Amino acid sequence: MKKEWSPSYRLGKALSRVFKNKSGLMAFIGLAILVTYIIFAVFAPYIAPYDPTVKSGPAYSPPTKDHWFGTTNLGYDVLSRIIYGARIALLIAFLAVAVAAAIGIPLGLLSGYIGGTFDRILSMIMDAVYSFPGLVLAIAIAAVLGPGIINVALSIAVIYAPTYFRVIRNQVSSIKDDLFVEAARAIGARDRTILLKYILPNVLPSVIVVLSMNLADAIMTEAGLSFLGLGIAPPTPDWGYDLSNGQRFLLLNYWWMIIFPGMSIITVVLGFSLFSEGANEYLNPNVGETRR
Amino acid sequence: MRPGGDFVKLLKLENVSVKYKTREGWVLAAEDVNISMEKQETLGIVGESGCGKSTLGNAILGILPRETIVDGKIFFNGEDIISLPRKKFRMIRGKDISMIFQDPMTSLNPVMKLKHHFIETILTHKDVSKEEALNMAEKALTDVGINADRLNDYPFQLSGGMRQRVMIALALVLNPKLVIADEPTTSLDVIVQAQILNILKGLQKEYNMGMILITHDLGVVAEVADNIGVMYGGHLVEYSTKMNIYKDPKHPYTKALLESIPNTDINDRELTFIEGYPPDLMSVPEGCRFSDRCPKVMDICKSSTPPDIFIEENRLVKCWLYKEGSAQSANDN
Repeated sequence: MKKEWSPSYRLGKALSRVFKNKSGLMAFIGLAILVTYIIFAVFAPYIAPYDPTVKSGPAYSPPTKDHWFGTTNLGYDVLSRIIYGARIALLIAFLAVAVAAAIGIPLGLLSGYIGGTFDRILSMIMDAVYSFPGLVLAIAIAAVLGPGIINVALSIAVIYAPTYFRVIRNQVSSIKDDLFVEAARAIGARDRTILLKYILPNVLPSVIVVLSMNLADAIMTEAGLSFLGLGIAPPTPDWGYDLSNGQRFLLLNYWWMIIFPGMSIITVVLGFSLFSEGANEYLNPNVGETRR
Repeated sequence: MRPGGDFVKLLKLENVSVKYKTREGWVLAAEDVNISMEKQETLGIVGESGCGKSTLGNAILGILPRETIVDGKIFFNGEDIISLPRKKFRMIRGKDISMIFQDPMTSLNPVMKLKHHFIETILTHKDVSKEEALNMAEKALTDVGINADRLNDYPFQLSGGMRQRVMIALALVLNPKLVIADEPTTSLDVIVQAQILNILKGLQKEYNMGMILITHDLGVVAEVADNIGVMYGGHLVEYSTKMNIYKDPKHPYTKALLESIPNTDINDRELTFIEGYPPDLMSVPEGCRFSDRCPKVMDICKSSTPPDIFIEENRLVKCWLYKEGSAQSANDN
């Protein structure tokens, strides 16, 4: 067998291509962080040393051999709460972004394709939503809907829907005049066929990067809502709530109650950002060139 | 007297005007165009950029932008297709009338394999299985000289000439009665141009189609067309047989156009050109559109638009220099 065909050789080739430039490395580090948190979220019961909602040791214990990250004012294990907290954070982030994309992408497609007054009105509504400061709007909606995973996800989704709408709409309105779309109309293709088979696959790649950036943002917004008491009801482990709970004891120098949830939020957001940035430059070489 | 006899023409345009709405106002891209063609005829439409020739092609196919107004009547096989409901018109597009576009590099969907382009076209109009559709696609592709294996390729894996041949195969796969070729060879080099034209000519004969060839290349129409329409500033200024147009052009614009073609046989001829610019279709001049640049301009040209004058049967000139049925007397011009 020739050397080029062996699987290990090809894997090595692929890896060296990824690591050849900085963007590949960036994406890889981001991905590694994300995979870690996803493993935390999925296998939380097997990884976490204690039940996160049961007193498992003395209250206010600093990091020790039994409690690596210390315990809270109620004696909950901080490490376990962080591992379980990844569940809520990722679940809400993915849910919110999925809902936002499910609203924004179809509306953007229609708006860009149909154009005219319909497009004007829809764009105006989306711009109005977009012009609100994100967290303020989310607070208002979350306050109306009340706490709960679905409600928090919905209120975050409303903030991000306009982003997808705008990205898709602008791409569609430029691509719909391309010759291959006109050619599709010339063969008598239905509007639905043109939208789904000719336009959508050509505009979808630009959404991927927005998607991973929004995921990072959604985690921060969720933590913000929980911090303000509008998110998930305690004692469900949640980084944002733990942060707000921990800051009450900061003056007593119980730093572990706030440092570790904070670090979790920072690292997971960093993971998403690195990944999206790296993926963007990797998938879209033009961006990299201008920065060099 | 109108050209033609009692039998039904393949295509007949009656007073067709096309207006585009833009931010600045209405653009009159074509005005009062009367033209017709027989089955299996090749009609060449020539004119410079922006004279409304592509607009005319798109109007026949009904694929103009939404904010466009098409006035007049377009008869296809005796049926007025402008007044057809959208859904019925869509069933004609691609099946009875199809189109070959100008730029083969962008007229195929970059994310679709060739075979899906064919399947899409065929299944939109025909109630056949996917296998049958694939068979038809293979046949159409072989017709234009491309190996049927290439059906599994993506458009980017093909050269420009091959893509244009694929476009031709796509346009012809359902045996349409009329093909509109909008500058099919413009973006290709001369050798490929000849190849594409030969393929088009051959297939047209084989399938008994009518063809409208829209181009600014006088060499291309000379090669392929039976009759030629010359457009200027949205008007059809002259229409006649190929021989008449090339040997005995009547309209001053046609004459000037033909004189501006470089000729390698005559060594010491100065290359003539037409002074000035074509009219801005946003604000067309009063009267004849060519009056500003015409060497034989008269007072009447500046004030009123000349009518369609048939100096003999099937020979139209939109110019005040001529009178109805005056082919002989006007020869001294």
